[in-house]
Amino acid sequence: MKKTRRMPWFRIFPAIALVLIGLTACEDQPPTDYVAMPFLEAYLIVGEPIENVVVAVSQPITERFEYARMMAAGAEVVISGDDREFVLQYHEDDGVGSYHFPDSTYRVRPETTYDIQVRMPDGSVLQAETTTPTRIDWMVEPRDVLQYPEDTTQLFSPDSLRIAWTRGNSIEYIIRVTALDTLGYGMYLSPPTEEINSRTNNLQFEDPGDPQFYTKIRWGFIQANQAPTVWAAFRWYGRNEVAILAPDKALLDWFKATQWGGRSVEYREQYSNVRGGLGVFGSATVITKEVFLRKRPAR
Amino acid sequence: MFSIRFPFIITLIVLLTHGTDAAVTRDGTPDVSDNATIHGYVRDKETGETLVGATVLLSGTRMGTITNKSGYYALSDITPGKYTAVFSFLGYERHEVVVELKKRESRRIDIELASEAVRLEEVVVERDRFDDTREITVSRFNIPIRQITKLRVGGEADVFRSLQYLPGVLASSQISSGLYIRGGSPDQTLVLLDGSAVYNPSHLFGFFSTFNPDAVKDIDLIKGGYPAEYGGRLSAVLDLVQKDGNRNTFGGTASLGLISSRLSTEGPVGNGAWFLGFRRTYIDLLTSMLETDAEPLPDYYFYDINGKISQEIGTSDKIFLSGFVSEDDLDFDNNAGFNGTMGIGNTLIAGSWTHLFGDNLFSVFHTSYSRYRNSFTSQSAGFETEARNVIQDYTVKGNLEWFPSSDWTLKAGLEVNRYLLSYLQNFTGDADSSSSDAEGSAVMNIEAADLTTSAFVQSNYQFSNLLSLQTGLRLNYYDLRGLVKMDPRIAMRYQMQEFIAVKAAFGVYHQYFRLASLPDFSFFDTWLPTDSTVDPSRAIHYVLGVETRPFDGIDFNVDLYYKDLAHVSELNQFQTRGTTVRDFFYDGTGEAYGIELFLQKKSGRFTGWAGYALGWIDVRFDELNRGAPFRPKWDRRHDFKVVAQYRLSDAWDVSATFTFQSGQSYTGQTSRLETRLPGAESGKGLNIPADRYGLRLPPSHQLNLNANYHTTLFGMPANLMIDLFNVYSRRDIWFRYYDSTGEITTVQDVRLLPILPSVALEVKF
Repeated sequence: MKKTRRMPWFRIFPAIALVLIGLTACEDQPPTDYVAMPFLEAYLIVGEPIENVVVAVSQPITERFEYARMMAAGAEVVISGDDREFVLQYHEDDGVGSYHFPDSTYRVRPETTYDIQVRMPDGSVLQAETTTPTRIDWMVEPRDVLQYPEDTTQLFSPDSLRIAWTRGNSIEYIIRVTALDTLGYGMYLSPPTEEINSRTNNLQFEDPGDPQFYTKIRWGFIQANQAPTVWAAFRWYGRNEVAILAPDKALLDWFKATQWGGRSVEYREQYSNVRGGLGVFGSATVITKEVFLRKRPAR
Repeated sequence: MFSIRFPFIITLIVLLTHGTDAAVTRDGTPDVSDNATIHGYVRDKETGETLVGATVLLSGTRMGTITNKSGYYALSDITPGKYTAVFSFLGYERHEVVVELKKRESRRIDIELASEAVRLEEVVVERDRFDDTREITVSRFNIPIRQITKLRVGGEADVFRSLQYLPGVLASSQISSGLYIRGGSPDQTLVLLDGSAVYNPSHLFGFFSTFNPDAVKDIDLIKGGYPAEYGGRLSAVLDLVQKDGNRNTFGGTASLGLISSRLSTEGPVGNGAWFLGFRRTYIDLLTSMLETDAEPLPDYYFYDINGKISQEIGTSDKIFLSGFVSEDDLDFDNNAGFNGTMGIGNTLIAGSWTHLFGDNLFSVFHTSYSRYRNSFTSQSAGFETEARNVIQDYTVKGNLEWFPSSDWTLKAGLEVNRYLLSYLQNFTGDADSSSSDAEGSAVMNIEAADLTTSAFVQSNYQFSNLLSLQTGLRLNYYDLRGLVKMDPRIAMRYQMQEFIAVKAAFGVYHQYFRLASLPDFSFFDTWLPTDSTVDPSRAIHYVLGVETRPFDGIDFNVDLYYKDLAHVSELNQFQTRGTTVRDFFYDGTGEAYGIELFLQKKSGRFTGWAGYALGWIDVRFDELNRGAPFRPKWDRRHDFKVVAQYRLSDAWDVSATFTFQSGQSYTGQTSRLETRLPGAESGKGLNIPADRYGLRLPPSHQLNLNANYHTTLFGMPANLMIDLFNVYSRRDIWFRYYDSTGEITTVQDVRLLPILPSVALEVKF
């Protein structure tokens, strides 16, 4: 068999490949460059004053984060809608600043388009608009007193505990369940006792390593205007507030983008409606009902 | 328009030219009617299995051919006379037959080749040299199944994972078997099993492919510039052929591994054979022993079944019936009111009929039903959620392969697909409302039916010893959109010197379906069609290759490629409502380009390859990364791989695989915020990203060792397989994220598997 002539470049091929890789396959270190970004988080709740409008600047990841420190106090914030203009003022509550419309007698109207313009202290402008949803109301409101299942939560909740509300112009809703008193329990019973409150038996859903574990609120998403009573929605026994939020698209998108996907989330521009910066300007109508969740009896 | 019309015109010209040329003999005599033909099947002597890609040549001439996917060959236009026909195939002893052909004779020569443990170098060189002159298609790899069974990961041989050792074929991570080929995502590779499309070829959330290597006899991967006989995908083609079964004796293989066990049996039946293979995991059995009421673990298992039966009817007809079922099931109950189930499965039933119309016209008629479904349900105190996706593909197709001369092969085919797709998503809390499709309903219930028709014609012509040309045209009609798409393909091969050939290919490719999938693992892969709101994805391939043989038995190939992409998709992850495909996908453009070097030694005690790929891919979507181009997560700039296999003795063989790749892309963060929903007294960390996937993780590298000890167990041949996965325990990063739950932002790395030894036993009976 005739032997072929050796090709000199063949010998150096592996060496070339290795050198190329060695030189250029290096990793990028996590960046530490700080890029300040203007941020707006504002929700108009139908029937409530214009308040809690957050105008802020993102903070460096290399420094200790403080919520109060991200607020931008010197911004000009103007909301237009309902045939008038609302100039918001900055104020601080327990050291945390936000913007509000000082005339608290004004209530956000349903089915009304509002526009927000924010001029940041550095001159940059943020702009967004929202159209508030129609009002909703309870059709079957939560019972005043709910008994946590005595032996198992694996069974379906009975239909008698199902809640329902008018559809409004939404078909996707946010449910918020807030523990109103994490300490007091027996004091609300009749006759009163000295029993203190405790967490429900839903620890399989909870991670004590997650700061959300220590908050009083659980959030849920539902695509219908009725729902069974889901025991896992309650973090604490005792007094709870069940709220249904009928959001506009901006708030709904923001809710999905920030509540789904881990303890802390990455900002996703495609779910923001703010031009010129980051954030959300959304609205919702909200109905609430206070309930009392009785503890599972000791066995 | 020019880019479409020009190749189309070229195709027509070439097709017409071929027709003219075929009527003229080599010596210029206008009448070829006296010439003879040889044809037949090439089979394995031991099992009777047909051999795909076996070489047939007439010694002392340049006439020759390669057996097709059915193991059939035909050599036409042979001047009457005495010849030595040489039959050879990788891993088999060469067989020679002296034939004396008379005028107008058509001689059927069916050959059985005996397998050999270690091939002779000389045989290899002759066969391979001939192969090279016939093989026009660029970027084509045919990995012998014997090699694949030795490339194990965690004790499990896997078809896709073996292919990931080729340059330019990337994985999203060590625990993913998905094939990212030349910048294309897994859904852009057409996966065919016995000619039928398989829609989700993965198990264990992508860790393994669904194809049991015991059941497969031929694997053909074309990484780009593929010919007109294939269509429907943007990037590549993976064409697998299942075993027919042993036509001579009953036999089988049983294998006991760390993750799964396999059993395959085969034997003769009538004038044919049957094969049945089964594989199942036992993770669920292990977890059931470990779990407690306080710490419930999910139940998970997968299995797959392959079956095939074939019969020869006379000398001109063969029929095949094959089936494939794969299933993944996950059940979870946290013993506190929440339970969920997930099911993923493929079902494939196919029937084929091959018929010889005369001696040089081969035909395959094929009908199949392929179904992929996934479902996810959960329930918490009566709040039910459900998501379900089903794609059903009814296919009828027929291909004709005509061998008018040893220089020219003409192939044409027609394929009709009836697709039924459905996607259901119900977060209403009430599973009974799943059927609701009323206006205003939040239940997403998309159902689509479509009929697609594709026709192709493809010509392979060898103008001379130096120049071969492959031209083809594929026409696609999508009934749902009323669209006609034309895909011209052209490829050529030019032999510059004895051991240097240049190949080039150009092709237009359209993809009708798009896949909603996550890059990290295959969890709920969902297929959706092209409706009125989106256009079919489109790619244009340009490939230039140089194939050389610097040493006898060693190949060194270089491929350059460029792909122009349009209407590619990115999933809108948080879309919960929608009625159109556009609601779920962003529509973008892109380009991919790179170079691949591949060095391979195919024969002898020491075999293997080394490959290096340098590649780029950029995509652009208006809605993402502020509209600026970005690279996908799976992009890896450099990709270096080595596979080495050495046969120490009749009892022992060892192999090693090594990969070194640039790290995956990830998105860095520039700053952070906190977001608070209405009524919230505290918030959630919100990380502000830098350029999307603009940074790169540390390089990935891994060494795996495998050893096989061939012995007997109770008189039966046995193979003890000892594997060491990730020898130096390199814990590559699966993904990196920023944790801003606390006041201090930390960078968290989730790492992949450490060193993992395993032992498996395989017994043949």
